[in-house]
Amino acid sequence: MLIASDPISASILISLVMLYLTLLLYIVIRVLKPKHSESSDESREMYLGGEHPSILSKPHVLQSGLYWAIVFRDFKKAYRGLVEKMHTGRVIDWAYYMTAWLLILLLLAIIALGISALV
Amino acid sequence: MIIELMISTLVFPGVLFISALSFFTEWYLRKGVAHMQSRMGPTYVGPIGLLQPFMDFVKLLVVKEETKQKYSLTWLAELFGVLGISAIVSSLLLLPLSPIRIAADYDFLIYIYLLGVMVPIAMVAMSLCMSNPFVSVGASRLLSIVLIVEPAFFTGMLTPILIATHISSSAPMFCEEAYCKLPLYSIFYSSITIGSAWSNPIYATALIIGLAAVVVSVQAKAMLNPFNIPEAEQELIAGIKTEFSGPLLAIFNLLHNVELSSSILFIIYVFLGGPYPFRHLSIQGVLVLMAKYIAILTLVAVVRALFGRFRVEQGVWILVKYSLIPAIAAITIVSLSNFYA
Amino acid sequence: MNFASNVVGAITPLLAISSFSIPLLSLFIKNKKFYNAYALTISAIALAMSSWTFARLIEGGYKPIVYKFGGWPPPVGIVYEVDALNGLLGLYASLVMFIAFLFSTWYSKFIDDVTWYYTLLLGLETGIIGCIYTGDVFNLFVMLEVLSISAYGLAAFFTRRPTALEAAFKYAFIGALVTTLYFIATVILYSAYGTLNMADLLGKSTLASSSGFSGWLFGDVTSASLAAIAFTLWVFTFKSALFPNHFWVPDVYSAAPVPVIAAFSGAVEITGVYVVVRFMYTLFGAESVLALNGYRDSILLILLILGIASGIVGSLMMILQKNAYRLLGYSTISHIGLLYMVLSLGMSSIPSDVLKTALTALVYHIVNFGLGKVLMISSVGLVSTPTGERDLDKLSGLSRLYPIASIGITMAVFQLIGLIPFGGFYSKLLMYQAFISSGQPMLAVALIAISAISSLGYLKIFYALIFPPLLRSSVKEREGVVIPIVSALAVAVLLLGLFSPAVSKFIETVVENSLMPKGVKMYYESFIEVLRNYTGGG
Repeated sequence: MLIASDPISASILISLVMLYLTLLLYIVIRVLKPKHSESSDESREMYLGGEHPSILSKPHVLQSGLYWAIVFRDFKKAYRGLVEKMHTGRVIDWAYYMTAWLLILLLLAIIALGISALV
Repeated sequence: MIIELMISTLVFPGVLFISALSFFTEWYLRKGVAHMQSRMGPTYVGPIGLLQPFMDFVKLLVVKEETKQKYSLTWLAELFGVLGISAIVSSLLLLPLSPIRIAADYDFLIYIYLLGVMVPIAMVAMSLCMSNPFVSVGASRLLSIVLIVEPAFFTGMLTPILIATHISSSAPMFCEEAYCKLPLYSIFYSSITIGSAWSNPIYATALIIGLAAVVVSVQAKAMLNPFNIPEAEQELIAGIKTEFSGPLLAIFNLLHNVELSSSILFIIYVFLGGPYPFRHLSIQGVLVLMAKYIAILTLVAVVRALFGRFRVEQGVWILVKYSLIPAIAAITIVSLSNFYA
Repeated sequence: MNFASNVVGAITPLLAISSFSIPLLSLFIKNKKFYNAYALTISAIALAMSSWTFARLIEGGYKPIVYKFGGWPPPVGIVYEVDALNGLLGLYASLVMFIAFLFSTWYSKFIDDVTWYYTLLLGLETGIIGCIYTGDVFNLFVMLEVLSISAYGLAAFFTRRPTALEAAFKYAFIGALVTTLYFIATVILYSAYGTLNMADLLGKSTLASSSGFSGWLFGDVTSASLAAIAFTLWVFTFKSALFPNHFWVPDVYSAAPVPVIAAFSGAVEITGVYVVVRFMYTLFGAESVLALNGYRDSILLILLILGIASGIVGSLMMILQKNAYRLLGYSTISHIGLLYMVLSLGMSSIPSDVLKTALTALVYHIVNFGLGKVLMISSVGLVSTPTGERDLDKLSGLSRLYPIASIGITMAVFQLIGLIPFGGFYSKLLMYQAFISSGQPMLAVALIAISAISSLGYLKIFYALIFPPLLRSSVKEREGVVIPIVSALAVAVLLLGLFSPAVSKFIETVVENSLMPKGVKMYYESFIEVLRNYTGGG
């Protein structure tokens, strides 16, 4: 059986199926889940390979460290260019890029007019 | 029809089928890699250890205790995991494999948003529900990889879709029976027409490049060697999985395995035409389908066994080189040849 | 019809007068609550008037409504001309502004001087609605100035914060320079065409017909149009924060009051996009003098490239940000990039049905992005305002205090990333359709890359506000009116997705009746009709 339709109603149908499955599976898992009594204090601490959590100053990594690998390793060059060349915060740098864009627009106009003058 | 749809999404090709397939996939990967590394692999449960992954799952889900950590949001993590699994299962409705199927213009994009966006977000959100520095580092690594993998996977999968649509619109001779009226740019359409495109040398080149790119990106999506840095067991304890235990770990493992097996399933349909040149409901068709599945799976297993783990920045650049750029090359070839045809 | 046109004409004077009367009222009334109610009522009236106008438009088969200021006929006097597109966008903008005013009633607890704040915010709404409804190129300049000056004032509102002053100074300095260039553009247009009326310009530039009133052309029309368009595009890409003109956004966002940020990203930048669309598709369409030697095509191509660049730069910079609102500023830049990507599919080589899909995607995405963004800003605003902090690290875990904010942030992230079945997915789906069917799959790849990169940025907010445990003890502020705002918007973004067949069909009709050749013709004909009525059927 083929339900051929437009992508919009197809995706709505799929999301309904998704909702139905999510609810169903969630309930099944909740039911199957073993019931245990309250566990010890030690197991409630986070697992740090045997270290005690007191070695951490914060229990989570700050968001500014989340993309360390991307910013300082993978796309180091791109970010260096973006931050040090473009988003410096100096008005003169803004003006530099903005003027370049205006010049492109004007240059294109001059070229278009020049062609028609030649032809 | 609604009842049929509800049953179908639970049984075939729904939760039961894809879970069974994913258990088989896990067993095959473990056994295959063990064989290549002269180890035994799973042997304990079932004939040649075939039921080991299933029993692992059941044990985690039903028997093992879930340690509730102080800062955790277990219920939210479970919900995200289940959401990821149901996104994958409902995407199976787009395949010709399914008895009740959805096919629409551009449904390929629905697939990409289900598999490429929903599932990584579910995985990351699931792991971030547990507060732990190792988890954060693992999630950050996973995200770095996702950043490259998803565009690469999308681009690679777009190759056969573009080819199939172009074939149908330019040469009506491929238009058999009722297929002409089928929606364009859809998974369904690509899987029934792509088989004939392999005879065209230009398309075949593009398809091979695209297939290679997609297989590499699936390797990374499934966090298999050499891209298993997000869960790097020695240095990060278990990365994103550090705080998972009991049922939650079972859900995460299932999500991970189901993602791998459904990706392979979509690859063999979209790139290799599923049971092409036979039909679904024939013995040859089923055998061909199984052979293709095992071939791709073996490829994945070989890559997994051959390489050690890459560091995250190495992994990202390997992905750019061997997945993103080839995929872009493949669709460029297709666009150019369509343009000049 | 007559009454409808009077309503159109009354919105901006109403807003302007009520804005300027606040300083006077402040001599007599000191109560904060009065100003909250006053501004909210005015914006509610504006919302009612713009929705009433749009309803009349639908009733009249999308025939544009023309209002003559002072009764002067079009090419001589100033007119407001509302067609399907600016009718819809006017309704949308006044809705966004209404939400901003509603949020302000909660936010006003945290600011000292509300009179000044509301004067400027009403001034901003005057400028926005004026820019959207106007049918006159010079009136557009005036309204742009009203908008800009209020915007500079609002950006500098927290005068005690050095960052606010710096941002406002830079924004005002460059902004003043930029708007002057638009003045030059209007002068050039007037010197060549002898008219400032948009429909009259359209007639002369495209249909090569004159209304008779403003005479025929003076001098070299082509070079004048080219120069004027170059200046205009530059100015309005600045207002809408397209890539090389985007620098003001993060600075202003990082220091402005929260409702103002919502108004900026939901309405001010959209106004810029609207003007560009109006110039490129109505005034100087595919058959106008601008198409000379492929000038229009090459401009659209450059806008396309800048759109991609804007999307990528915006989403890459999101990953780097520490300030929540600065991050949202870059996310706006990235979405504006997407809007320009679909906006520029009007090249002559692209078939018109693809263009129609693209423009539908544009309008749909404007609504999706705007409402998603306002939802995001109000949820983050609820968390950040009581503490006075804007740094994500210092806000960590705080949204556990406000469950409604967690829900709002989650829904907004899903909307802005474009997950199924949220509205954001469907406008992106239309974008993909337009890109793939125009034979440019690389654009679709660029779109998915931008979405992938920006989803990392949104996850940062998610990660900072929702997931970490709340360690510091903080005082919880009462949510008050924010609860209905956030829940209504959260439902709205979901409904935009679930009812997307109807919504996209509706927007397609709007686009067909405004930006496609049929709509452009209607825009010109209503102008001629008004003129005929005046001259007695001549």
